[in-house]
Amino acid sequence: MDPLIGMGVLALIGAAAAVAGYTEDLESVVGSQSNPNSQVQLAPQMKYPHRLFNKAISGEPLSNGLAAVVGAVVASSFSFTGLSTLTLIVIGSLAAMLIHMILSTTSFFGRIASQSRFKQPIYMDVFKDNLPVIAAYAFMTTACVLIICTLMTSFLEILLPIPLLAFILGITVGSIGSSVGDIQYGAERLYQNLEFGSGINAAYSGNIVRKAESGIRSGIDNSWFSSKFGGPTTGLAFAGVLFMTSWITVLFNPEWGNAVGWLGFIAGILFIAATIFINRKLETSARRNFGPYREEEKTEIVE
Amino acid sequence: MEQIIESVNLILLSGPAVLLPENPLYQLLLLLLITLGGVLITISVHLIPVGGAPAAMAQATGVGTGTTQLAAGAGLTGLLVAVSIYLLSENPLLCILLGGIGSAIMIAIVMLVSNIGYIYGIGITPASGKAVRDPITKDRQDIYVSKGTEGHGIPTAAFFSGIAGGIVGGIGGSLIFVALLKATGLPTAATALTMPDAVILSIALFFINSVIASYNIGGTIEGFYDPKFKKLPKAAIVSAIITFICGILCLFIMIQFAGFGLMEEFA
Amino acid sequence: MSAAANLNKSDVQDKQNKSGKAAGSEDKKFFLLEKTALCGLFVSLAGIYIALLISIRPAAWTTLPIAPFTFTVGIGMIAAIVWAAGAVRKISKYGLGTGVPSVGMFGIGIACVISLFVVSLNMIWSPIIGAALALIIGWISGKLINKPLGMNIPGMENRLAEITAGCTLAMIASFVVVTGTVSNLFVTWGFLMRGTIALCFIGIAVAVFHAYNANLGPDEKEDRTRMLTILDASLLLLIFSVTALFLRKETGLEMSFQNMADMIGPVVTIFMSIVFILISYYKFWTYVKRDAWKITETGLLPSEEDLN
Repeated sequence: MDPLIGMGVLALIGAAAAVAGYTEDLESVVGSQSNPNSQVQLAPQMKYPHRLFNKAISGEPLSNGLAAVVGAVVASSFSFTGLSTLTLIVIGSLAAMLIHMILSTTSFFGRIASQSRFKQPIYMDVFKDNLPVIAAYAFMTTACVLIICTLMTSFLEILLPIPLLAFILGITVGSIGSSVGDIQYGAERLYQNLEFGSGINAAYSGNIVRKAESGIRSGIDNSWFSSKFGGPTTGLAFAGVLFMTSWITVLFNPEWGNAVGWLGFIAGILFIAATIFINRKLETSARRNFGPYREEEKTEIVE
Repeated sequence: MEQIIESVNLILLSGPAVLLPENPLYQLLLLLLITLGGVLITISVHLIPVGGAPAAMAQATGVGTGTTQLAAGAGLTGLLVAVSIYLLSENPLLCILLGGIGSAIMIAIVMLVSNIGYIYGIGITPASGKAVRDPITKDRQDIYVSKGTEGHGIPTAAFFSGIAGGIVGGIGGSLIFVALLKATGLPTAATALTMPDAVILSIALFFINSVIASYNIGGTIEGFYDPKFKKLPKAAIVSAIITFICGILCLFIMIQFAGFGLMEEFA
Repeated sequence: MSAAANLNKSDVQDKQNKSGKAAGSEDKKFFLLEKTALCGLFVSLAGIYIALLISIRPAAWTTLPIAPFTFTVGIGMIAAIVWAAGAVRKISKYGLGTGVPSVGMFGIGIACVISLFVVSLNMIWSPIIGAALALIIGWISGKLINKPLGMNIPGMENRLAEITAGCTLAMIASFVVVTGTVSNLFVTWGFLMRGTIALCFIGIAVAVFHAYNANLGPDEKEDRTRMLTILDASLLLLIFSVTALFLRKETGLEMSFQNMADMIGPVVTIFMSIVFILISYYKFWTYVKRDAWKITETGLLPSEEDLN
């Protein structure tokens, strides 16, 4: 394959991946899925009932993997009709969105019904407001993953069946969204009543912020907040992962000889070394600028 | 009508096509490689710094997600790189090593961007709760841990540990993948047909081993300097046994399905 | 997730203190003789075998056999998933420390290997061999996880055996739903090369663990969880039968008696799964109305007096 076309495809994949990561994170924030769900789940028990959408289909990787696979399977089953690829992607994403909506609905009702002794009511307007947002984001994520799959199979010569590829990418986008994007939601947005600049003291677990600027906070308010930092970083991370892993094989295509392949290996190692260096710089600058939380003791601790 | 209705499956299901592998010693070697791959995956889950749900609230050191899920995400990224390399190149060693690099790149980017989130989004310094001094940079850790938490962010030692875990896990997953494909005895051009089998079996073995490892560490680990890392041998033994049992079945599957790679109707 | 698991653990301990004897006597019964296990095992095996044995010879070697009774396999698949999900519920009540989904992924990992193995055996005994192998391997791995790893969850080996066996039967059933046979030729062609196996993998796993994960909490009720499992399994069955329909549409080009008969199985399965979805959703909603503290159209947060 021409490396120039390869780079163009890579750019498209990166763009689709950025959108997929962004919407994936916001979808999980609206529904309080994944790790911060533990706090939303704990809040009524600590006598802080809330008006957040509490959905726990599973961890993000598995639920996104399911959505992507359902989309891919439905899209490829419809392929005999001869519709265009984009239409097929839309059909598949619609099916995935419907399944995701049903799973979200049952999770929302189930989790709150299982908390009845803590007197957390089921608010139907919360459900009706938040579900379309969740559905829209789920649709976007699935569509972007399917677009990436199509580009990969048709241009990058990864000859896997599309559902299998969608499974791998869905798990990856979910695990990135769950590890990168949720931090800002869980540690900052849910605990805006605590002082900025420290981890959440375990004693405050469950004491989440329930009031918004005006009225009572809902999942949509949280997605507004996360769309400014958590979502973009997730998109950046997913795009970076797909770009960097495909870049090795596109620019250093092993088809041109094993030596070129080994060059790709070296390039990968150099990139990892660069991330280590940047991380170290970040760490030292944070330590220098933020300073320690308590004074260094006079006596050194014996190690 | 009665003549039409007959149990077709009694005719179709006439037993396996090939019963025994042609070269038992070669298959035994592949079986050992698959077992090694499973053990490597278990080791990788122990190396990757994972804080589970508390890490998402900046209450524990590590990446804020579940052990199984992060390892699966990284391993599958590595597997994807290994698949694309295998289709392009004849060299299995390159395929395995680049699979490791792919996983490590995924983990490195995730940890780096997480740290950006911790530092600029929450305003905390990466610090370990398990070690007083960072084992690599020798920086003090305890004074940078905020009150009521067990550390937060990903300090340099945990970052190194995570990259090592990514490389090891990616190599493990790609090793299983390559060993399964080599079991078919088909040339590289024809293995594209048996590739889905190999990929789904590698994914299955990946999940089995990462769940075993995450049961062993119980949710959170900081890396090689964590006291929980000493529990590794037990998990390695368990994963070796289970992967060995599953590996026999996997090799049998690949040998049976290899025959279809040469059939023209499937091309 | 961990906080919720701890919460659940303490609740279970409370219950055990109240009824310590009942829990003790339950353990003595061999786990496969419990009602859920017998039901799951036999209904799914019967469903699979009815569809396998009543089928029509294909016109050519490369076309799929006509299996008009695939809806029995659908029922079998739902039964197997309900069985496995019940075991997930029992095991997760002790608090795994890593969330509910992990045990589902472990079960489906082993089930995937075993079900592909029995398909490659290409025998009419494949489903029975698969169930037996899954019980054995699941039991061994449960024993290993309990003893050397030190999870120390009572009944781990039995429950893990049930989860793997349920997942394996569900997976074999899904092969039959789509292709109408467990022949290695057609499973390779209809499942592996089209990648539908990925849906099998993740879909069955989610169906097995989602119900308990979605109902996690101190007031979790068994009937509500089971109804949600049936809903999840029916959703999965719907997608599989749609895939089966289009797989047949793709292979049969002309409308003839053969092709019309070919469509019967998937079409019946589609209608059956839609009916199951509607019924189980309605029942789930009535259980939610029964169990929830209050369902309100809108409102402010509960006041202090309400909470105390």
